[in-house]
Amino acid sequence: MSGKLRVLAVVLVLTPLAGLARAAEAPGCTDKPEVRFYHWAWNAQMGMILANGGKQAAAGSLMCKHGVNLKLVREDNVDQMQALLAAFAEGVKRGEKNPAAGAHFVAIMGDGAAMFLKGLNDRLRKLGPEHTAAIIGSLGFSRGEDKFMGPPEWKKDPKKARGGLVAGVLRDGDWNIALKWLGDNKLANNPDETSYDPDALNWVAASDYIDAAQKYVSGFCTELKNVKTGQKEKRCVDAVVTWTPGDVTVAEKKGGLVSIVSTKENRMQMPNVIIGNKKWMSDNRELVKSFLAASFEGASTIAKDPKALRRGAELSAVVYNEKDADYWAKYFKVVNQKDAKGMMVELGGSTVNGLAENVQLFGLGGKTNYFAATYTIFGNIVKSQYPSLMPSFDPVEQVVDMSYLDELKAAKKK
Amino acid sequence: MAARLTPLAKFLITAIVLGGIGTYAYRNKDKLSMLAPQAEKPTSSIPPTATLPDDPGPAVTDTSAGCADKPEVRFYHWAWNAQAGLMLATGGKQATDGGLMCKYGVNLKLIREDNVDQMQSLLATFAEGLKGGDANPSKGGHYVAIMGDGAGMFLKSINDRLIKLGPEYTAVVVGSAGYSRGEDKFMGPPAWKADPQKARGGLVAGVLRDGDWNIALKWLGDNKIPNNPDETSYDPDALNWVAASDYIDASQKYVSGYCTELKNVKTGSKEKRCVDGVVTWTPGDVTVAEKKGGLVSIVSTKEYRSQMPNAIIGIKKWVRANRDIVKGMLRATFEAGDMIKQNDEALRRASAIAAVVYNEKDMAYWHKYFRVVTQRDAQGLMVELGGSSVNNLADNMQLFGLAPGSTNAFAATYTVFSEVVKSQYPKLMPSYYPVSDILDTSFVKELAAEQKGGGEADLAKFTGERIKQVVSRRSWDIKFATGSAKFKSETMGDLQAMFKDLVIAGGTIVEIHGHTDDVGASDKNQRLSEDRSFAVKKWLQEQSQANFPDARIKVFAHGSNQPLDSNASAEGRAKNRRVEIVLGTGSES
Repeated sequence: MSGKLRVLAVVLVLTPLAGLARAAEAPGCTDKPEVRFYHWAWNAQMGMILANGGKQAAAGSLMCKHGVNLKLVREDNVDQMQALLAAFAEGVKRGEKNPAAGAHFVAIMGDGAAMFLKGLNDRLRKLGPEHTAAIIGSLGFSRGEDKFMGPPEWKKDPKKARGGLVAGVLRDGDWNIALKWLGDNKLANNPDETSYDPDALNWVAASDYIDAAQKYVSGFCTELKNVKTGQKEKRCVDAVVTWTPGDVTVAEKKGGLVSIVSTKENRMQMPNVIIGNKKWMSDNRELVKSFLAASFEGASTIAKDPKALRRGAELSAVVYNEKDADYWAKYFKVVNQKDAKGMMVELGGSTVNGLAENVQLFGLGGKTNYFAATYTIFGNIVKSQYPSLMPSFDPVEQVVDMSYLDELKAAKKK
Repeated sequence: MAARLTPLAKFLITAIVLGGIGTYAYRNKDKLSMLAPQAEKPTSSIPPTATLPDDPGPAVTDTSAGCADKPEVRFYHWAWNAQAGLMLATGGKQATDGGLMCKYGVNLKLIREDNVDQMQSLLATFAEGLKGGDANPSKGGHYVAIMGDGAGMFLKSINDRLIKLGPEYTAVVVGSAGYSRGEDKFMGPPAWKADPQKARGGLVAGVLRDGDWNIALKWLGDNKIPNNPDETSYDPDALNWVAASDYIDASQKYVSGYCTELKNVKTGSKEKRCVDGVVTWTPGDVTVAEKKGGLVSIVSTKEYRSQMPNAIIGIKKWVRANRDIVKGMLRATFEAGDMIKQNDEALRRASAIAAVVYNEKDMAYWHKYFRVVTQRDAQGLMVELGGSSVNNLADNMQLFGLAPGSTNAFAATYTVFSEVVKSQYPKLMPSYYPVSDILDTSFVKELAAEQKGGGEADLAKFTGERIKQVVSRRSWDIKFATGSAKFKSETMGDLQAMFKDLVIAGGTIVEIHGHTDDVGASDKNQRLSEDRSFAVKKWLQEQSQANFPDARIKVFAHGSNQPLDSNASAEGRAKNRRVEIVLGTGSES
């Protein structure tokens, strides 16, 4: 290879690396025990991502400063998240102090936590009550990006949604948005995705929020038995429940749907919740508090400084391995834009939570517990729709452990 | 001993029993589920109503000082949503940890002060401390912020005092945190809005010679209605005034049905007169609407969108000796302004901070009235309330005429309203300081040279639609060379006055109506009036394209068809040769 070619090859190799290096620093505290956090792509988590400085706690990051070697791993599938928490709990049960398999933490939508934790904790309880999963804090809120998208005429006249077919993850937070809207408008829901009820809103089960958006974009159709006529009918998806980037995909790739209702209106519905293994967290109190403190510091900076938001967006693109900094920065806020069919549609919208927002959300100090409200309200909705699948769910007191937040709050006061 | 069954007998018995069970099962299919229930299929139902608690707003509990190691800088201000960027950047009553103000090294302390006299005293105390050799006086105000259109009166009063310490101790405007864009208003009975002449003989409560009073004075001037500047008398042909101590007192005077004895200048006798109009701002306008109602917005800073920039004022000597602190304060405020413009969540946070700093109302209130809100008042009338905007760096460049295509709108509003006060109260304010003495744009200029990126300026948007709601009609005696569309040199003063007037009324559509007398052929007059109208439009756009985009201006030519007076006399013909400016909005409110 000639000298010139060698230089060219080096340039070609280094150029993308240089881009990466600018976006995320190298891991900075791998001497500390690895803590794995499995998460969706969700802008509400930007405070944690900024604090981490990349996929693994970066040199000079807030997370390393607090002594936490956090590894961020994207996982879009809820069943898989449950399996990862279960694998971790089994490791702890076997006596491993810091299991190498499974997830130390996952984060999901708080309004979907009753269903998530019912399925998971029924399984973990068999290992012992100390091995169940608990919510310890919140990284942010969905404030617009989670939405029920449907034809504009449904928005004008909700009754027109009767007989509609919606793609979404059943019993998930976005499904909750549609269910709340149905309840508010006194419209029936058909919870059986194998049938079609012309008088109710009907569902196609999606494996995740991206799949939900894709089902609309691809014009997915299915044969469903009409509960009135007993006949099978071909029905196609005409609405979606999803979140960013699902909503952007719908708007850009096909269009034709508007935001019927979203977490912009239901502002207290969807806090992000951090879920971990009770025993491991109890055995590693300082580590857990340090992880929370670093994430909250990252969030506070983002809320106050536009340059921090920009940096958080750069790192989000690296951690989620999707889109770029402009994308995550743009859709951090609610954006009105024209879709593929020229219709104006609202996309994106999240906020991040610092310690003060956590204190408020969980009502520490005897104040209103906003998390308890959304957990219970939407737990009851799932129960009403799927009494066989979820005849009951754990009361909120059993699934939260506020001791970490309490101690951080007390330390802040001092 | 029991008999043993043969295999055949066993088979037959089994077959008979199974056959019997099968026959029963076939005939009683519906009862089978009792023996072995199938998985239950969920059926359609209306989900329970999910009532979520209201959003309490951003948690603004962290009010501890974040950079107390830096010198304390005190900023005295009113409760005014135009300062939302300043609130967000500071984060609380004192610059908070991680906030923009601390990031730029400014330990800012925000202190509400509603009284203008007190603000002046605070600046004077500070200047005296400086004069005494204290580099960062611990008493008085480093900054105050007031309405830019009221700055002539404010600075005349304070600088006449401070100049005795030396010219370097006078007060100077260094930047602007935002604008009133609707919330400052002249509220009156709907009849006044429908026919401005009905305001003659009205009695209005307000802070005299203040920014809100200016709104009414400009509207009077634009509609050729006299003002009675003597609040101890009553003129049935003019608009009359009751002096209020502040903008809250003004609204309370209307709500409480305040009446007073005033001497009628025509009859000489005393008459009891009650307040029937108010000039005020949010929350004064909301108080009027909610507690009593019956008044609408006659005109406001929504239409006069460049009238009322917030003006940040400091003492020359200190701001020049502490350039980095001044620039840090401005930079933080402008960056927070950009955040608010781009994201409603940032406005929510700023509103929550405002509730803490102003120690009044809550996040929801300040958030709601940041924008102009149309709501029903206590008497069922629809009324516009609230309305502010925040400034970023680009807005400051526009305001001070530092951006291409802009004009110094601050100078325009400062000068126009100083002239108004001077004309109304010649004894009280016989003169005012020229804008060059009281404005220092060097901080904004330096920031612009240093800053990369940042948001764009918020310019008024026009769609090209025609006026639906007239705000004012005013004839201007613009003089042209005979038979041509060339301006006479002596008319430049009038053109400049018209230009400033229209810059201030930056939210209005401008209709230019050209008229001639009847000398000459009518088709020639028609063309001449058109040429002259276009000449006015062209001249306005040459002064500032940013303030006069094509979509804002409509040109109408009437030739000699709409005379105001008889064309028989030279005097009448002079009246008929005119350019009439109609200001209005595209929506009826």
